[in-house]
Amino acid sequence: MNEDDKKKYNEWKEYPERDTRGTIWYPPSLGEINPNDIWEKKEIGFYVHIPFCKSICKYCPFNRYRWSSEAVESYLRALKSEISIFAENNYIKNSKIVAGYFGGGTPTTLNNEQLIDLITFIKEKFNINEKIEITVEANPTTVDKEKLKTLTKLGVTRLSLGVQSFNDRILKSMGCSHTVEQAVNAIKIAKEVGFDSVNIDLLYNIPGQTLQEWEYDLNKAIELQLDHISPMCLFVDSSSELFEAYYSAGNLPRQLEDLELDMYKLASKKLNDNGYHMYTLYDYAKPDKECEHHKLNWKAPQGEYMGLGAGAISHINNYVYVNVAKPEIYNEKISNGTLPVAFGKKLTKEDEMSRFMVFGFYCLSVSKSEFKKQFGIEIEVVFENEISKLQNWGLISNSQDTLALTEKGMKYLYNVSSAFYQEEYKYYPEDIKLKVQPKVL
Amino acid sequence: MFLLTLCEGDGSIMQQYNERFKRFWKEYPERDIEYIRVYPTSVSVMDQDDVWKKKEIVIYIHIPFCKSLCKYCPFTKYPHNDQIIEDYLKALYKEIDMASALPYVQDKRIVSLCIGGGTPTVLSEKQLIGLLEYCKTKFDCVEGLEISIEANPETVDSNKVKSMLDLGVNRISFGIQSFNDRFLQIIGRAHKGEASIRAINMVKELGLGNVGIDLLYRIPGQTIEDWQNELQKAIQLKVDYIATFCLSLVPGTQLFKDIMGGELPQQPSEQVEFEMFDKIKEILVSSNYSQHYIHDYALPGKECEYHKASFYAPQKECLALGAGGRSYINGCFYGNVHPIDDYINTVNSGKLPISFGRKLSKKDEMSRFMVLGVKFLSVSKAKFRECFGINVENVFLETLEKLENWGLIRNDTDFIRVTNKGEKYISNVCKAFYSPEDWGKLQPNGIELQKKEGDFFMQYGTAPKKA
Repeated sequence: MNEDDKKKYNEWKEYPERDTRGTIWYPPSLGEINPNDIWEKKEIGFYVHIPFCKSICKYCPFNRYRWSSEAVESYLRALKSEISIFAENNYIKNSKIVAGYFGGGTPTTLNNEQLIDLITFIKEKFNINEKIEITVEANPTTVDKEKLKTLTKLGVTRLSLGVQSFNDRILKSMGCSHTVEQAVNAIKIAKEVGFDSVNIDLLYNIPGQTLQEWEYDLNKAIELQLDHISPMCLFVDSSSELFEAYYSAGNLPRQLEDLELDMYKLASKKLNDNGYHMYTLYDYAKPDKECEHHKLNWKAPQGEYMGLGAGAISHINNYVYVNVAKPEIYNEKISNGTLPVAFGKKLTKEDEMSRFMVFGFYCLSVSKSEFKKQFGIEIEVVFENEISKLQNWGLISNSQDTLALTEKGMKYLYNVSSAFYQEEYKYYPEDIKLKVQPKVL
Repeated sequence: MFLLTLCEGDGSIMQQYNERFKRFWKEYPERDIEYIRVYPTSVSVMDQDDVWKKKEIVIYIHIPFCKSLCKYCPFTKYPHNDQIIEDYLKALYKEIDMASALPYVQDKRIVSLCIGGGTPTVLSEKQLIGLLEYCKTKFDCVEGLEISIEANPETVDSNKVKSMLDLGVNRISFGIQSFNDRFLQIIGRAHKGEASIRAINMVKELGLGNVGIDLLYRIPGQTIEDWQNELQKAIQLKVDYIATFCLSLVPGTQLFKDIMGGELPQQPSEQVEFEMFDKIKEILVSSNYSQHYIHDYALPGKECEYHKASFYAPQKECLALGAGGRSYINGCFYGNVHPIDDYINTVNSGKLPISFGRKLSKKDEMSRFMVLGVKFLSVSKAKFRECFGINVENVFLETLEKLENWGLIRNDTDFIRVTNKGEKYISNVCKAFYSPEDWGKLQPNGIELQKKEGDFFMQYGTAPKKA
């Protein structure tokens, strides 16, 4: 073939010249590719819900029930069946587990044998052979040295203690069963047995709590040299006993917004000054102690996770769905061999884009280039109005690659997040807009 | 959780809670304090089958052997040789083992299986039966799936066809090319027109539901009348599906050399090509065929599922097996190694025989949706929106306006439609949707032929940049 022929053949034609080379493959330019890259497994996390507590805290809005040994036994049997069903699922087989989380309820209401049995079973079923972050939530009254040692031996790397407060009066008012002494003791043992990271949850803006009391809690946490601290403003959720009490009395507790913000600022300053950095609006960590599970849940682009157990939420295979809540119904469903899916939604692309933003701001900022990579379109094209509105209100800043909450925006996180809701979901608080009322669960 | 307790109650409680909760939706400057745990917030009752429903994909299997090689063919194929075929099939079975064991593939249902070539029917009856049975045991095939096999009129007999029908083959596509012996000789086909007619009649008599044929136009020396006769013959034989191809001269093929060397006349002019193209629609549409794809026409209900999966937007994923097969799956487009011995050696060493490819960016996927989609002459804007969460105009506004100005497409309310003029310029239309980094790049066709031409292959990747 001479050069002219080659040229003629090779030419890329633009209208009005006619291109006669058919197009049956796209994209046309290919490079070397490794099969392992094509079939690389997707990284996902898992969440296991243990819905039992020895006593119920008044503020708790979660799916929890009073502990009984029979209830736990039959629940664990069902939970293992659910795990087995997932382990056989091809989507899960095509995934690599990178983080795990046992939440509740109180996972440490399980005894040592139960913990060993459950965690070993999960690791075996999901082929977890390498060290990954595994978190267990615990209540100070349900742990002792032996149990915590057992957990570390099982590969649990992170312990999250529901301390809530270092003030016995406040603990009592919130219906917590533990004392400050028990909490401090549990923290000390946890640090001793060698978890990679020990976290505590602390609550603020509890009715009756003063700024000085909150400062004391923060100082105490810093003094105990925790790796990770999660301060949460008390939210009186409608499904908590606290709410019911106030509601039947005719009014909700007074929570002072100014005080809340002062408490928030104090936490931010104190923790920052003492070597903790904020990486979600509720989480402060020492260097390298950020929780992978939280980031998988919130940080944009959010990862997938399977939720195991009663009431557990999953974000997987383009769905967000929730398991049935009541352990008895959960057990029954599983014994019929079906996954106990209750309700959920298949995410549209628009939902995914919204989700990217709604939860992305929990981690303070979202990356524009990540959005573009994820969706093939500029963030400004999709959310032009929302971004300029929030910018005008001074709630977010817009720099080269980052949309970030401003200091003011941190106070208005939920306004920022809900601004990115799809129009059809606006004006409906979370969980409210059930399209169909289920008859039997 | 609130919602969960709610669901186990009755509707009146729901009403009460709705009232109570209205206070939680706050617009700035009011401060919203509701902790968001779940998004999206609007959910429906569902069960495991909703979440874990398998996605549908198609499978292509390449049999790269022919009894004799056609002069114009740029595809991967080798002269027929019993021993090589045996070795090849062994390797193919191994590749099927590896591919079907991938969890990603196990998570899919197969809605169409296409065996192409080359000439799949160079395989013996026993070999074909074995291959089809193996595929059915290894993959999760939907019941009554389309099984389509490409065939050459000379390589089928009634026993082979009966066996294929027994195994669920419901579509055979014959590479007829022409019913005219003179043209068959020019393009180097081994069979005669009579053999094609016999083969078509035979498979119809045996009860095959869908008989397709390929017909070639713009053959050196071919007149418009010659072409009309070909189409009339196809109609008369009541074939179900007619795929037409304009003969494209590919450098490196024997036909290209014969014409360049003056041993054969030049192809008819472009003007004649256009007239031949118009004749296809005119003649076939008046005989109850509908245009199913830019070059393909089918009787009602006889469209090809595999073809549709490959081009019609949104395209389905395709797992391609065998030497030179091209897959589009799991966000990647990739090709298997071409040379048969390399293919066999790679598979025998326990590796998937993948040699080149690309992971598609979201932008690539949008381009692909359009580039291949327009070959079906209409692309649904709602489907684009569903796949990408954005309107097609947000992504391709300039391109759409340009093509519309040139008269090649119409941007209707619901569909992007290719005009009659656009059909003749279909490659211009396709390529207008390429990602900028792919402008100027040619199709990854007949790679080994291109390699023979030395650095020519390299030029494929480095065509002039578009302004």
